[in-house]
Amino acid sequence: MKFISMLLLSMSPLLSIHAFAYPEMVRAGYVNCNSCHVSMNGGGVLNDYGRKLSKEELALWKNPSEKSTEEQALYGVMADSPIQKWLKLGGDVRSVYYYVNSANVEMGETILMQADFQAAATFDQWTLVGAAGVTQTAPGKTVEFLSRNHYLLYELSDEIHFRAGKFIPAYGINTPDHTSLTRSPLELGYNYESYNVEASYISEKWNWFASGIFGRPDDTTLNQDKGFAIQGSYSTSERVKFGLNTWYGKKVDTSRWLFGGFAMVGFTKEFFGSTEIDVKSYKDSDHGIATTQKLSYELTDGLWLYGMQEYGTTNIPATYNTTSQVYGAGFQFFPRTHFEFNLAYEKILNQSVAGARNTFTGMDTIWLMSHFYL
Amino acid sequence: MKKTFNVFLISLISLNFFIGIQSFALTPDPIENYRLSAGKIEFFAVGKPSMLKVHGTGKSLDGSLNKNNDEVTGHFTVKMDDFSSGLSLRDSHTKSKVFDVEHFPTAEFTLKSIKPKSNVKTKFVGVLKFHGIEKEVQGDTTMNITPDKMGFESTFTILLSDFNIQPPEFAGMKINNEVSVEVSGEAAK
Repeated sequence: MKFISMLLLSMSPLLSIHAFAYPEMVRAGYVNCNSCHVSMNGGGVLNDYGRKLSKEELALWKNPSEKSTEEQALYGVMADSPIQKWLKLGGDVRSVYYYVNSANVEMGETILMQADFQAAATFDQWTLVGAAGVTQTAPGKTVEFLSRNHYLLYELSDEIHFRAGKFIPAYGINTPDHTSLTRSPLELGYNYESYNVEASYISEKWNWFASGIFGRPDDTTLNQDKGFAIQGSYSTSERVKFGLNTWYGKKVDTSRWLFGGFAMVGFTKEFFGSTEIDVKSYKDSDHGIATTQKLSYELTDGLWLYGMQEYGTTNIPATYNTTSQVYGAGFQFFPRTHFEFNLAYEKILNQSVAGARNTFTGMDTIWLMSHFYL
Repeated sequence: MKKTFNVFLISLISLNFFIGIQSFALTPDPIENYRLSAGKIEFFAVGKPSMLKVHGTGKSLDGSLNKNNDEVTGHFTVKMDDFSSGLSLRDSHTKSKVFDVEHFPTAEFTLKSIKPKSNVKTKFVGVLKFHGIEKEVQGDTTMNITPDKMGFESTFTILLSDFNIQPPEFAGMKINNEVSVEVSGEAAK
């Protein structure tokens, strides 16, 4: 039972939230996240253009009429309302079925990951963004209320924006694969939202983000980082983007530096690849690397085949070493705008060395994520 | 002496006549016409606020180049309904509400005389008729000239406002007034 608890704890990121951004859209020429999202670094409420793309670029079946409003929030019930010009609505309902098989356990569970409502209201150069909803972080746990993000965004010019509030600071690839070794194990991405201030510069070629991170003053027991993050990225062509970033975080009991680089490449309009590598260094504690690679191919409109590989190490000198390897493949299916399904298989291999004790564990997981967005 | 002179005169006349015939035979028609056998036109625009790069392609480029000794002129036509930027709703919006293809189904470009050297970038001036308005444009072209073919890659920039077009807006994405155009093709005799 203890093992199962540990297993579920280790998988908890898998059972938690995706707030969606699709870096794969780089292959279609969308190298900047705010092409589709209100947020400068992606995820959350879609803008009008993102809505159009969700129909044209993502969905397999679609109403071809230019007058169709099926892709809009609530299927376009507000399409003719003047409110639509300044108020963007959205929301996600998401659940996952997962199956785990290892030497010690075999189990399958379904969990409600997310039921969120999101809104973004724009007045002149100001935009107020907020999300509210519920989540179930593990099977058997009660559903909890949370607001994943809420922030105020100010547009100084087309290129320069400032925002303050709760959101994910820009670091690495803002992928929805938050179970990736370059996300949750590094305490980055979804579920690690924090209160921040941010300045961003988005141009044709360059993206710059500078974030001041204030952790979670509303819940200090989380002991989240306080510090800063800086990210710069460059688009060498309309389908290629490279970036570097650094992160400094101070916790109650330690501090850490992260350094990383990433690339997103649309080899063709159908074929996408991404890679990210991060080096972590905790003061007087562990250090290591984490890297993830993904290849994705659009078999037809709305159906993507992907494969991924990850590798990570954590070393506490003279005490403890772990190595993790993950190999996976899956399909993402967008049958019609507002719907997404993701079926994946992953093989997870872990090795830990503590003194003379050398332990290998392996785990097979299959999961099917179902997603409806308003 | 007189006989010698007559022989010389006849020889000279014959030689001149022969040379004249040769000259007439060797001097080609000074204007050579090259018909476009393949070509495409691309435009690159930037959409704000996300600095989205919009890349449109049209493959219905038609036209010809004329070569008169070392001077080249030309005339090209492209069907505006043929353009695609990879997003069908955006394309149909652009064609109907921006290009107004119903009233202006084609764009035409007339190249004024240039003296290009093969594989050397050359400045050009031409007249673009687009959206019913004629406007002089300037750009660069690199031509690959062989006896039978002329290949070319040309670039120029236009302002949509010069052609009485308001920078288009689609789903909150507003296209910049300045649009870069690339034209490439090959013409053969």
